[in-house]
Amino acid sequence: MPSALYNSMNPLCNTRHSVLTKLNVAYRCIGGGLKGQQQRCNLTLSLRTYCQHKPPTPHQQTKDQVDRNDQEKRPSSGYAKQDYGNPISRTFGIISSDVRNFLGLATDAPVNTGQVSDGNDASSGSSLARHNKRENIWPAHCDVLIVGGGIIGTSIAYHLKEKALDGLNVVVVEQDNTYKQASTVLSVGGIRQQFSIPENILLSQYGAEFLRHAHQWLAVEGQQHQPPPDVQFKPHGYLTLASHNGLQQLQQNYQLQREMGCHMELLSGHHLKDRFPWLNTDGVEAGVLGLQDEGWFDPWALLMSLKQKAVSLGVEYVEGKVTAMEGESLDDMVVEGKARANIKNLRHAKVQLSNGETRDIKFAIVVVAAGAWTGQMARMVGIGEGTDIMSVPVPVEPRKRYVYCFHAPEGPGLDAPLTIDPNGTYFRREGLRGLYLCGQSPPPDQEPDTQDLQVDEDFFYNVVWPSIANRVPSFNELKLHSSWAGYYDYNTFDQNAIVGLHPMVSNMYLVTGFSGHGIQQALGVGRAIMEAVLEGEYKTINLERFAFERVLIDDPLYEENII
Amino acid sequence: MISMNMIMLGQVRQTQGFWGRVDVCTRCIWTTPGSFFKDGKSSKQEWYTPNVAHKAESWNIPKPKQELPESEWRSVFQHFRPTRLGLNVVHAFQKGIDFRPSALKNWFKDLQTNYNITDQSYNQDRVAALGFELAAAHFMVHRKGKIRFRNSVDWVQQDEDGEYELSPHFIPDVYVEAIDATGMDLLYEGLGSMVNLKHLKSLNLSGCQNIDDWCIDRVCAQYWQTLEHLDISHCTKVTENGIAALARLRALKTLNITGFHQLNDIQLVCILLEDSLPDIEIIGVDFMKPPT
Repeated sequence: MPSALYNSMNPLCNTRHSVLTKLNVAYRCIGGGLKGQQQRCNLTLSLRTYCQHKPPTPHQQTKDQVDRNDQEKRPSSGYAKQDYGNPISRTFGIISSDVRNFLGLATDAPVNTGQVSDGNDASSGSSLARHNKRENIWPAHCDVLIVGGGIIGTSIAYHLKEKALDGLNVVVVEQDNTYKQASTVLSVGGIRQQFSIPENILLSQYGAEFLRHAHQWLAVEGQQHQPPPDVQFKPHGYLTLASHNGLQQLQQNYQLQREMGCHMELLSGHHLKDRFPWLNTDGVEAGVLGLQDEGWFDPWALLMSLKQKAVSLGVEYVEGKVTAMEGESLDDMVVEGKARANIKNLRHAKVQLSNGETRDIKFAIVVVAAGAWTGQMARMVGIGEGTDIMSVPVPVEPRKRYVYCFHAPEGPGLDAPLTIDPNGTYFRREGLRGLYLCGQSPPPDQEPDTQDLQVDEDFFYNVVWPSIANRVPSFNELKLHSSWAGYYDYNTFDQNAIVGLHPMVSNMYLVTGFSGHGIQQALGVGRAIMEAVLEGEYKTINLERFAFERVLIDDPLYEENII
Repeated sequence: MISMNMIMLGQVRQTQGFWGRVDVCTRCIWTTPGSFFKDGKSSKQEWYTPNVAHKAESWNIPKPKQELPESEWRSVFQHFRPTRLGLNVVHAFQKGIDFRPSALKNWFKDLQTNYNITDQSYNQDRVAALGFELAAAHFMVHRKGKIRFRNSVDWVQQDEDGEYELSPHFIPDVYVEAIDATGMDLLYEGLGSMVNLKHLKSLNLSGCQNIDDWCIDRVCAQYWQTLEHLDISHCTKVTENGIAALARLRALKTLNITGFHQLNDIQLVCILLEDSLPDIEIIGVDFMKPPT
């Protein structure tokens, strides 16, 4: 989509011309733009909006109060009972809750909204402590709602808040604060620049640069005495092996990577054998070894540091599940194609909290970064269930992938990059005591069931072990130590990211479909979405080729894999 | 000549370089890594001309500014619309100026760090004028480091007047064999200024406080074939992950890691390093050799 359309459709595109006050009470919309869009400009804190929409929760509150009176006490959700939809009552509510907290009269249950629980609780740090006290109030309105609090959602929240500071109200809704099923923490944590699409390479390069500066950029102000955030990067590189059939593609990819400024080395079979004596080079014609900015790191550490920094900047984390997103049809903007269709504008989301209560959040922009469940989220809005353009679903579904951890005392040792076999099997060293991680994507007709995260060990013994033992003979003797499974947010269309606005919804960004390389691209994509939201266009890395439109016109953007 | 570690299968061509015929691969080691695309516009004119014109792809040309079409209604206030004010100005207003003494101290320190980063960044003109070896030599010695050339026993360094003797023009067949950065604050960007040194055998980074695992990554990327002596004693930011990565330096004979004895698992890392690099001698950490 041309950026003018982005600008006109982006409800917050005029933010940079507005004067933003510290109290977040009023925005003034200055500047040009389509007149109709101006009228529909959904600036959530305007009084007109309040007069038009009656907040639905008071009815629900009374019903809840009735339930509470009649039946057993519902466990407290940690939020104040009042929703404070009206800005005047909200101001009074915030002030009175501040006074109560100050005088020690707070009676609500302690809040669990994303405080980092690994010992870095803010006892010092004024902004974080102030934030603790304010979190009793339910965030009934926000500017940007981010559905999904994994690495993608947290990265977007961090970048948005870091640029806009108090100018934007960002709320992240995450269904599970322990991240039991999130792809982020179950990932192997590798970062590489060995792609065949230039944007992917650029995103990974920025990811590496961000990780390098993580101790500085993610340091929270009140906590200089704690050790700085450390993602435990292990700079061992990636080794992609190619058989005879994949040699041509390997060389082309290598050429592109060199052009983009990556430090790579192309080694023939003999040189590989010389460089890595533990490698069996039968069937391997050549390999590309990444020399710099490639390796693996700890995704949990990155997620927690990013989240802590985001919370310290003022992002509000809500533990709940988005069950519905509703909005209006924009009658003055019409899409013509096979038929006429109206563009939707989403206004509020229903969030179901952990204690069963459902609350409402009104937003101006929603970013759906729900990982493997983004397809479901999109269906909730009607994408995939309507007619014409709306009949095309977001082609992202969960795919289960296994990671096996085994012990091999005679393994390659320290000097082993993350090696990828031509048939797709990968392995890397884990720790210093002879443990290795490995995995493989199963063939398309043998995709495992995604109901739960149970691991199939037969797959290891029948498929993965023979493959790695063939490639590294010292893996013939090994013992399976543990294993786990995680979901890929698998893009069934072309296994690459889907990033950008949906054409028929004026304020919903889709950021998903990374199919296994999300952790390394999360930081670059977070910055790109920040630019799209705040400036209306991509400024540093142009991700227009990843837009959802390529699914509509059936133009896949394949990553050329090496076989 | 093409460096030994690039085994190109049919992609090398010869072209007229600054001082004669050179082998080049398209856009690789003669340009600042990654700078072409980082800010969305082309960097300075490279001093060699590639064979093929760069295709304009969607991701490597800057986008033209799109204005509203003429027929759209605009108010009279559009003349007062700020044109150069961007997000950064709003961000600066939001952030405000922090006048606390600690914040002012940090701001000044950041200013110095940024100056050091720009000062130590890769300089194309320096390399174009001097070649890689002499450029590295000038870079180090000017910033109070020391250099030793191959086939020489004397170290080139600044004397008490701050003067030093190094050729201001390119001389072929001069190779830097040893670099000593003790006493100067070498950064990640500074390591990027000393690239493509064909015969670097010894690197002494002792005491440089800003050397961390990423700098180890850079050193391993550049010198894994030739480096024999590495000294990273008292570089406090290096962790055991970085020291484990030193197994990539296949020619390493001496490693000095004084000051790392309190790291977790450092003895285990040393034992594993010995397994990986049989000839290595590790100084500075006391670990028991396993009984053979």
